[in-house]
Amino acid sequence: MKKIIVIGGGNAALCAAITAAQHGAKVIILESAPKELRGGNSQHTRNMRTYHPKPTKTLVENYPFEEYYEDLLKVTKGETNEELATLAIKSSVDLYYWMESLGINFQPSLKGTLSLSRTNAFFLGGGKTLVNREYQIAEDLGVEVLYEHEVLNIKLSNNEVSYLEVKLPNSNIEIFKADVYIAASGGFESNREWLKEAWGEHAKNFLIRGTKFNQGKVLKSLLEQGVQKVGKEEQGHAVAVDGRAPLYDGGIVTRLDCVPFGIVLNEEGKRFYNEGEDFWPKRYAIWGRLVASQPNQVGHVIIDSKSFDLFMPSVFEPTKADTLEELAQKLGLPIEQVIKTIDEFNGAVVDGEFDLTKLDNCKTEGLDINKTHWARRIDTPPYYGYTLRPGVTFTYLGVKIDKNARVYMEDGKPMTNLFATGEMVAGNILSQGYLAGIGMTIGGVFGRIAGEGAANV
Amino acid sequence: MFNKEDNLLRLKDASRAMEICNACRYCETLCPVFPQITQFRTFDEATLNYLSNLCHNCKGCYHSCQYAPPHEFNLNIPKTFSELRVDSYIKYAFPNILGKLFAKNGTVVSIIIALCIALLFIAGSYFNSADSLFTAYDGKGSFFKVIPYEVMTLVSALIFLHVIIAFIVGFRRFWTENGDKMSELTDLSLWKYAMGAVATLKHLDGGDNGHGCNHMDDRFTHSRKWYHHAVMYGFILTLISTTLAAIYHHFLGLQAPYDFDSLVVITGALGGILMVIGCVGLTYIKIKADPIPISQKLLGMDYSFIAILALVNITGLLLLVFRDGIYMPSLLCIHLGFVLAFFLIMPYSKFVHLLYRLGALLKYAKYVKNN
Ligand SMILES: Cc1cc2nc3c(=O)[nH]c(=O)nc-3n(C[C@H](O)[C@H](O)[C@H](O)COP(=O)(O)OP(=O)(O)OC[C@H]3O[C@@H](n4cnc5c(N)ncnc54)[C@H](O)[C@@H]3O)c2cc1C
Ligand code: HEM
Ligand code: SF4
Ligand code: SF4
Repeated sequence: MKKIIVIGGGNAALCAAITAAQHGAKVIILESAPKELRGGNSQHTRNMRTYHPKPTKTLVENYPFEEYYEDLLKVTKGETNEELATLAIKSSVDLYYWMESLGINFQPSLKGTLSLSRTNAFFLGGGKTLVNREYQIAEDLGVEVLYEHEVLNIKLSNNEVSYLEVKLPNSNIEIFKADVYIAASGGFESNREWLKEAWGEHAKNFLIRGTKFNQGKVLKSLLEQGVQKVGKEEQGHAVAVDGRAPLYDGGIVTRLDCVPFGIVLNEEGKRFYNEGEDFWPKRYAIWGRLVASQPNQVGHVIIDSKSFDLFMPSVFEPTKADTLEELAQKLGLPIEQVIKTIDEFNGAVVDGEFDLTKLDNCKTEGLDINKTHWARRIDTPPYYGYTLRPGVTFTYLGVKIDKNARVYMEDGKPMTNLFATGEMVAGNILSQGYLAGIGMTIGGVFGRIAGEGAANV
Repeated sequence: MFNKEDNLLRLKDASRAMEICNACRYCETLCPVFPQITQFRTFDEATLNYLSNLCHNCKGCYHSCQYAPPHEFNLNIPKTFSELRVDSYIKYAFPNILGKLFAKNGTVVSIIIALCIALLFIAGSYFNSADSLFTAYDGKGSFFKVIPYEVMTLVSALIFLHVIIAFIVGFRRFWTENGDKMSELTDLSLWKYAMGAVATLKHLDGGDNGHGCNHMDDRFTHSRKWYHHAVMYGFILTLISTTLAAIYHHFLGLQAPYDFDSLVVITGALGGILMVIGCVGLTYIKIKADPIPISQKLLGMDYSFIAILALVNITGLLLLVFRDGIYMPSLLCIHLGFVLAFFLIMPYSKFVHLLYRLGALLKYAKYVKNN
């Protein structure tokens, strides 16, 4: 019986392990997290972008291939691997039905995400329920799951994997060998040292939205031994999140939707970008970068009581004060500068008709940085302050694969016994930008291909 | 254990949990709690009492939750809600002073049972002669030779009246707490929804996909629902049996015990067997289940409720089997002792979950109707 080791324990790894076991292989999963924290970033996801020619149980209308592909080209500015992108999109519908046949449940799009009800299949209970079910299926098929087994190195000779160095729960290091290997251990977004190297010193203040276990050790080991890389180190997905979010695993709820209703100040008490440029869902990703380039990588949203009820409640309580001076002091900002900035802002507001549902005509005039929509004077106490920090979702740097999910060396030769999937290969398709829900599609599609390929090597 | 301070902490914890869920919403179709909370931004006590009683304790949202322990947010909604439910039972209990019994349930139950049985023995021997307790009787009316008909009827009627009053007052307190009016209960469409949800326990189905709930671990199963059906429908059958017996006695002039092929015995025996099966199943699930989403504090109350239900039925079935022998009098005393104990503590035992869950489902029916 063919022995296969799958490295990683998220959606990509599990799709690969399940498929390989269905094809008769003996499969072992090495997951660096303990059981309670298994599932990587996949356990934080909510949906999967799915091409479908006709409605499914939960997806409405249809989402044609051409439209999906166009959507991808838009976000990547045309830079994608056409062959792999086409394959991923076309197979996404089979992935959906395959999951359904395994007893993975979907639900209609969540309240407030109506815009995705046609394009994205939502997992019932979210990614954790998905991953739980995938572990059950894998275990039922006889897959052996070893938790707290971290792969430190993947030793190559020529274009073949010879063995793995694995850190065991007791911290000893042991060699693991198999006939074929599948790498699905995510990106390097949780590795702060690497992030600093790639994104600059200020990455020390970034919050990581997902798991702390995606340290990129397998990725680094592969790239150091001459595996061909795709994507750029500095490319990744980051958004602005609540500054009080946990260092890791803050997940979806740490987003803050209040920016368009107030002004955002940096540590010096100054505004630095147009808060009302566009609707927040279209802007929250750029605010990750914006905040990242401010002193100490932090921003402070200030709103007054007129706006308090207009956005989704935040998980953490805002700082609250009856005067702006008090608020500035509580937030640790230079009081004089804050008052000056707000006075200038208030003085520049042109009255209009405030309307949340459209790009309205409430704006400022004459400032260096104007606020172009939803601008209202900040003058009605109590005042509220929220802190913003950059929150990293994931990185794009990865390894080059072909349509069989086989990994390639820099010299252009395919590896004989190594496949890869998931976040580690997303860079093949996503050179830049992000299309909501495509991460799970890529992992699942190439996971199944890798699993089948590995079983048939 | 269930004092005001703990209650405040729990309310705070539950409201924090609901705010996190409201920002997340991944569990939206797992159960009615999640669509319902999207109507709120903040969560006051009345709302949380309603939500915790709407919760069917299926544990789906624990196993689905990316913020469950060991995450630092430490969300454990099934556990928090279980405890909050008991806080609310205490609050609604009538008379209020007896609400405290909830907290001490395990011990109180056994004491009351013991007292009841003893009382029955004494009553039995007092009204008849002492040796009537170990005599084989046969023929119609034999039960009443042990305990006189008047005593049986008077005691039952008093207890029954007390239960009804306590239930009406408790229900009213629950229903009006968040501002709903009693007059709204005349809307039959609410009852249609709620009774449908009760009859099928559809909110233990784990959403539209109907794969069930996470009673033991992260696997979806229907087992708890089916065991509960056995208990609930078994209970209804025994109620039918008792009602039929009353009709036979008062209107047809027929005296207990009834023949084995009479409707009274068939419904009673079937109901009893179903309830025993259900109780065993529910206990098995409780023992095997992942302990983290379960409130350990409440296990005593849960087990004692299941135990007394089981004992009422086991003693009833034993009585049926041995009713023609010399053990009948003592078995009858014991059985009636358990029945009386069960009804006596009914308004202060987990039995009230039925009352407030029904109320919560009626409230939820209002939400469904308006959306
Ligand atoms: C908050 C958040 C929300 C998201 N929402 C969505 C969404 O709705 N839809 C979507 O498509 N995408 C979403 N994404 C992106 C998505 O999570 C990823 O694209 C996807 O999970 C990648 O799957 P994966 O299996 O490759 O990686 P992961 O799920 O991250 O799995 C990697 C696994 O490898 C393990 N591992 C790491 N290093 C080692 C090692 N050295 N040895 C052994 N094991 C190791 C980790 O413990 C982990 O189990 C979201 C990401 C975040 C952070
Ligand atoms: C309105 C009708 C009813 C509803 C909606 C209902 C619902 C529920 C639910 C959701 C549970 C599981 C959650 C929990 O542990 O609290 C439960 C538990 C239970 N119910 Fe009911 N129930 C109803 C009526 C009854 C009746 C009539 C009986 C029998 C007398 C009964 C007996 C039980 C028992 C024994 C448990 C305990 C299970 C345990 O602790 O594991 N229920 N009920
Ligand atoms: S229980 Fe957890 S996963 Fe479910 S909605 Fe609440 S926060 Fe989200
Ligand atoms: S335990 Fe089940 S019924 Fe209760 S809130 Fe969670 S999902 Fe809903």
